[in-house]
Amino acid sequence: MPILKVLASLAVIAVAALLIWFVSIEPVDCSRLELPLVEATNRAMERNDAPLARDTLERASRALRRCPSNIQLRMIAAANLRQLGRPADAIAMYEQALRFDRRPEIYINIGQSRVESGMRARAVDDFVRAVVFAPGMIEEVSPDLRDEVYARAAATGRQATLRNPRFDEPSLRGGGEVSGAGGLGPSAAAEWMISGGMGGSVSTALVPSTRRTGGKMLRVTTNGENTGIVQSWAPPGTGPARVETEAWIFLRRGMVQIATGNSSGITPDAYLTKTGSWQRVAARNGSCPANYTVILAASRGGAEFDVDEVRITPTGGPCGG
Amino acid sequence: MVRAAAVLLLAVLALATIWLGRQHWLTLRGRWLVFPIAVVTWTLFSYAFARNYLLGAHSLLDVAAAAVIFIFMVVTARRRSLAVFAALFIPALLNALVLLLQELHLWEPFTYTVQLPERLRRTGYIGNPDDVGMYFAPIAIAAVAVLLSARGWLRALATATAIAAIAAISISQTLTAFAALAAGLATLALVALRRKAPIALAVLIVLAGVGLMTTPAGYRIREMGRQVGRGHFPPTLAGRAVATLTAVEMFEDAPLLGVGPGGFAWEYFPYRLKVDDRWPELRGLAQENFGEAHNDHAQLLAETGLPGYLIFLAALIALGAVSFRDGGDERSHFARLVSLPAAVTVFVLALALFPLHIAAARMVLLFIAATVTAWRLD
Repeated sequence: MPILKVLASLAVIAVAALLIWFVSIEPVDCSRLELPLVEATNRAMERNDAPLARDTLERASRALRRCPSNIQLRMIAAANLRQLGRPADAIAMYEQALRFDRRPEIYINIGQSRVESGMRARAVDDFVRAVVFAPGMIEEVSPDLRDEVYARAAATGRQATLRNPRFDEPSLRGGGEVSGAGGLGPSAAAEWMISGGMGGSVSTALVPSTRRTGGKMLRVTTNGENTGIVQSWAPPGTGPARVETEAWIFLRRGMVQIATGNSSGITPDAYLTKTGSWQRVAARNGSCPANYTVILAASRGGAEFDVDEVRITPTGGPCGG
Repeated sequence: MVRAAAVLLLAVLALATIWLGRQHWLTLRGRWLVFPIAVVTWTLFSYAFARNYLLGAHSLLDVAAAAVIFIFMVVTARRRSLAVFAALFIPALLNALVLLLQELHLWEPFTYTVQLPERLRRTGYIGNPDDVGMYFAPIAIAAVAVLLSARGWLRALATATAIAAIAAISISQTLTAFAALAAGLATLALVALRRKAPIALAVLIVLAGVGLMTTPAGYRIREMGRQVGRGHFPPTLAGRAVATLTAVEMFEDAPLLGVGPGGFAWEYFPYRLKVDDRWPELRGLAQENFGEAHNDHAQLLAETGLPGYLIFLAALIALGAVSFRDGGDERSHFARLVSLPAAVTVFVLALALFPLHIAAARMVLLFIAATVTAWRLD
């Protein structure tokens, strides 16, 4: 009986050790390999070092036999295959990685590998998949394919647009006042903010429209240049490439500019100088892509104006067009 | 390590049975077993229909390991006093100390190969600052409950742990952990007040209402509520909302079985594109591939369907219900004090974080739930 107990105990210990090895130690061991292998891959790329790439590929492949679901190891192996001039093998490796995770960077890498293999048409499909998911990845696309990829990605699905374009919804806070350079606060209309621009004060009020019966308009009073109302309606770097901005403005004093574009680098699209009547101001965006719309005073002493309705209409075409 | 711990526990059990025979203290009986059994059974069932078996297997192992550890904790806690909490508090104190040293730039145990913002370097030995918040919020609640129930050195240790845990959450700057801590402490105060609780609750509600209507923070909350009501997402919520909405899309697609354990990360790519189509203003806002929904309620619905989520809710309710029993000795007094606040803390944490998917936080929750389960009948 004691022998049986000893044998059973040994079996339990062996099974437990094996299980611990497979479910706990080996995955951690593979993870610990990732960082040195990434560094070796980067070195091999920087120095165009084929022996180092071959060695790194071998180490990554050995680790992959133990940890087949480790995506990072597959990415490392594929990067070294590309470095060794084997894009077809790299594509196969990336496609295996897609069985475990569908990250946009894998599609970008497949696209780049296809470009290296001369399969440009299929590369565009992969790039579009990545850019639809992560618009910022357009920077990773081969420059000569960017416009085509951007246009196809932009044509996929619905695009964001302005919110509260007719000023129907009041802000919870009512019309506050913002003073000083860089000041930003809620306007009297929901979703629209008032911007202190380079300095000066801005106040807004939501009043009955004098253009549309039963509608509302936003009255804006500023005493500084580049101050007025703004709305960020899509994340920076995203949104349609080409749009037309149309605004109905009643200018009482000064000069006004309208602009739509990328929030990090917006440029004026059109100016209004005519006072005393409702004017439709329309222009295409100079800054791209479109995600941010502003209506600002363009004269030194500021401006007073009413805005009744603002509309953004995508017109198609790439950013460079 | 959690999986290794579970295997080790099972091996110890097997060896004890071989050499000592069947142990009386290990007899598994009682209604409390319903929950670990239900969790494992439903996860297995959901796994049978999973969309990626390999990824699902990892989640299945984690769930099974958690169930094994929970059962062992319950059976061992039955024979232990409140002092067993030293096993939770001492590592927490050490982690809080490391965090403090990191915050004061006095010592950094890790070497970073990439530039990270200061806040993201506040990790202790736990993980990123969100993980730190998820770990310390339930510990703070347990520590306050222990200091109200115990005497002597344990009370001193619990006091130190409560202070350290609250400081650690402050260092981590995790807003959801703050909210969970506040909700948990308020609930604990109500449970401790017993008969005066309805009056205190009314006062709390009035204060919250006044704060909501008169303070800048209240205005921001109301404005966010209104934006959500209009179908838009406030910028402060929008990044995580993408992950949560993606989980909701998955749930709508597979409400009964979900996409399978571990399936959220696998299905994120195609379902995120559906979210973009439904909410164009969120398009491009979160460009990385989320591995977690940052909302355990939504992720449970997405991965295990409605039955999986109902099991989770039922477990929380069963845990919280212990606060409505009468306590006897210090262990049952502690169980009464901590159970509802712990359940509320988990519920709030899970609204914008994923405590069930982080090993450190999950172990703390299992520890508290196991002690309450073991001591509630005293």
